[in-house]
Amino acid sequence: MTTTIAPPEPPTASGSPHGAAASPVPPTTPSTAAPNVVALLAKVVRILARIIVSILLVLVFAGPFYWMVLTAFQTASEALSIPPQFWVDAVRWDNFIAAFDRVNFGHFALNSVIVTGGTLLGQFLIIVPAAYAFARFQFKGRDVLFGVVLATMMIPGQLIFLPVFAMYAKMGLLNTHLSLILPFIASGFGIFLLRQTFMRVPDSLIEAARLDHASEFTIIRRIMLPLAKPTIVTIGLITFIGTWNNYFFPLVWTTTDAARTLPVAVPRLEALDEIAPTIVMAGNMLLVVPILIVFLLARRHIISAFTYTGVK
Amino acid sequence: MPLSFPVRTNSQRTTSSRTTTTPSKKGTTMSSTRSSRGRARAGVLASIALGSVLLSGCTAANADAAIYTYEPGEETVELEFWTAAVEDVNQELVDMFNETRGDELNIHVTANYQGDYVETEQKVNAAALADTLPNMFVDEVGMTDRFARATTTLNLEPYMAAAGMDDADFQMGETDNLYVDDEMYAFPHMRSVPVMYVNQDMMRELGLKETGPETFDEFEEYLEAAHDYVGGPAMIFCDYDFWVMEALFYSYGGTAVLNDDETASMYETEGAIKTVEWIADLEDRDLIKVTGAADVSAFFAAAGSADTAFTFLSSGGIQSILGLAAGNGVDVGVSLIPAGENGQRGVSVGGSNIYLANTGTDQEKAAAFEFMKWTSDTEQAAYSSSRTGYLPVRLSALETDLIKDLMETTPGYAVAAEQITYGKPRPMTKAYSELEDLMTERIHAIYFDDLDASEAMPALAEEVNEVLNR
Repeated sequence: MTTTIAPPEPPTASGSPHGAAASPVPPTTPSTAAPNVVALLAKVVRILARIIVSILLVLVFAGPFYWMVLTAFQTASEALSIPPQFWVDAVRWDNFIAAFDRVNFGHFALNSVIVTGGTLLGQFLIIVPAAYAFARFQFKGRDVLFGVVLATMMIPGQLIFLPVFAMYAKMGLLNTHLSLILPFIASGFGIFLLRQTFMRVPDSLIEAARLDHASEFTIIRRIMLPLAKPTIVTIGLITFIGTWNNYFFPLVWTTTDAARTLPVAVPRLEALDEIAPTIVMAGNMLLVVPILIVFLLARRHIISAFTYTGVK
Repeated sequence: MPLSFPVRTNSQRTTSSRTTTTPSKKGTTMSSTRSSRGRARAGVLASIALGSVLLSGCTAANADAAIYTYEPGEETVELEFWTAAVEDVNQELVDMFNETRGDELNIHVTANYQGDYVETEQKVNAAALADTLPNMFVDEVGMTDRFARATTTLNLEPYMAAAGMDDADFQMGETDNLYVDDEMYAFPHMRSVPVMYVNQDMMRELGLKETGPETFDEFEEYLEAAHDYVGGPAMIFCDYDFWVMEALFYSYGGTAVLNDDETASMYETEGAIKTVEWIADLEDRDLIKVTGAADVSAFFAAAGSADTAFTFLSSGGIQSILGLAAGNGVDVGVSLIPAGENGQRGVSVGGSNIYLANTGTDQEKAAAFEFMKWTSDTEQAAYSSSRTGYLPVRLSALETDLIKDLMETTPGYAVAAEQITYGKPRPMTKAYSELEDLMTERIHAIYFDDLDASEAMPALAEEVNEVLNR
């Protein structure tokens, strides 16, 4: 089937395709045309500005990622060339092979999975009942206790590393996965975010469940958790990123490689006898890829969670 | 060119330092109004008493020597060794020890990497509090004093005396960072000094000496020629590591960063002010580009580039910089940091020491000393140097075939060995890590905010003094 498109009529001297006499619309006078042109220009400028700002933001946020991927596939001389080279001549996997050769990546990756998985599971077991109690029960000292929970978010890690290290040494927990999981399972931020979500669940729903003789556990499992799914996914993602990327604590709370995670391994890819940012970037890519995958899968939930809890 | 190092021997050390490990002797007071018979009896008794004291002294000395000497037992002594930097080489040394000397002595060492120097220091301090110190550890040269005063590390003198070894062979350049109150508290592990990397291709093109400038006056002339050649600054000066700045204060300004007893800053001195003014002037004239820690990658990239004339950087980077330059088809050589007025030179000696931690049984401590002794022995010192680019830590290592071959194939090593003869100690005050950050930030601001160095440096001196006297 062919479609015939009629050519547009040539414009008349007035600028209208129909001519001034034939047009039912009165001719536009200069006094009304000027504001329209100005408005149109303003709209074009706004759109252009938005596009430019968007491009700049993409450059700011995606630029480092692009540079990391680029460097991971370059040779050392390409990566360090002046002026910089913004592309690769050929995709090379040598840097990834070298990264695996230099440190036992499998061992560190397994530790990362155990520590991150353990922290996620532990957090879920602690923060859900804690948030439910703070949101739904009236008890003496509730607000004070909640304030204490919030206050834990304001203590810098550098302040606690030494006493916790000493405590772990006495408890025989140094160089164990548990030492990297325990301090992070009672997340003040998680309890706060989930409490906000639980507080928005209508009382009538809970009353109805209680009339049906539902236990508190059943209410949490059948009503609260399904309604709080976006928040739980968000807390999970934030915990995942924080734990997976954590460099400080897995470094300072371990003295052997037994429980150390990937972020501690990546800086060790630097070799003495060569300047090789390419291998370090290959290691960084291996570190970051799981986070990107999880983020892409969960980003829809994050937006709805923050909208739902009123956190902006 | 044969190198000569000023050797400090035991006899040159203070008497007090040599007597601290001698067991104390007890004496007896006798009356002067005794009869001759009584005096004779007393003389016999005194002889017996003196003999007992001497014998007991000998016994005590032998007992002390026994404490400091390792005797292999039935069971293998397990030791933990914390490493910082050069992880691969430390692991290789440990493997070699376990297979050879360790196997003979029934000692097994496990190496565990702890991060960079600062991270390792934090972990050592934490471990000292939690009573989980390793048996020995590696850390930066400037930390000897703070570890010793915190009783985290042990005095090596008794162990050395028991082993019949002295420190003469360690006297390669400046070695003050091994001692606290004239007592040896560390063995040198890796040694490096700032050197000047010179683009020899560019020097030849410009008809200049390919070894580069010898004085700072020449240095400026060379920079001007290089600027005209490349059409811009031909050197990046990166102050990410304050250690290089210390070398310029010594060589150009003829001053240290802190006074001798490390109680006050020297930034009010003319030498310090003129050093910073000189660097600022070079930048204003577009002869150099000053960058900070954020641009360290660009700095390293430039170090091997055809458009870079000079780079001030650690001799520990010889292999990587020369390798990088070779990859770019550039011929780069190593020269001394230029001399200042009246030929003055000076560079802070950097690198790491190996420390004996104050932990474990006497046998474990003695076993740990055996490992330290073996690791820093001639052959191992030469091996570490050849694997890393750091200088060997024993004079005798310079005579090994390995180092001789290395200096022949890579003359830069010989230059670094000559540079260390102008070595100065790094400040050892425990506040120096904090001060390095402060001084880098403030001096950086002088270059970037065009501050007047004659006002900014005395102001910085006050800040430094506040920290020192806090």
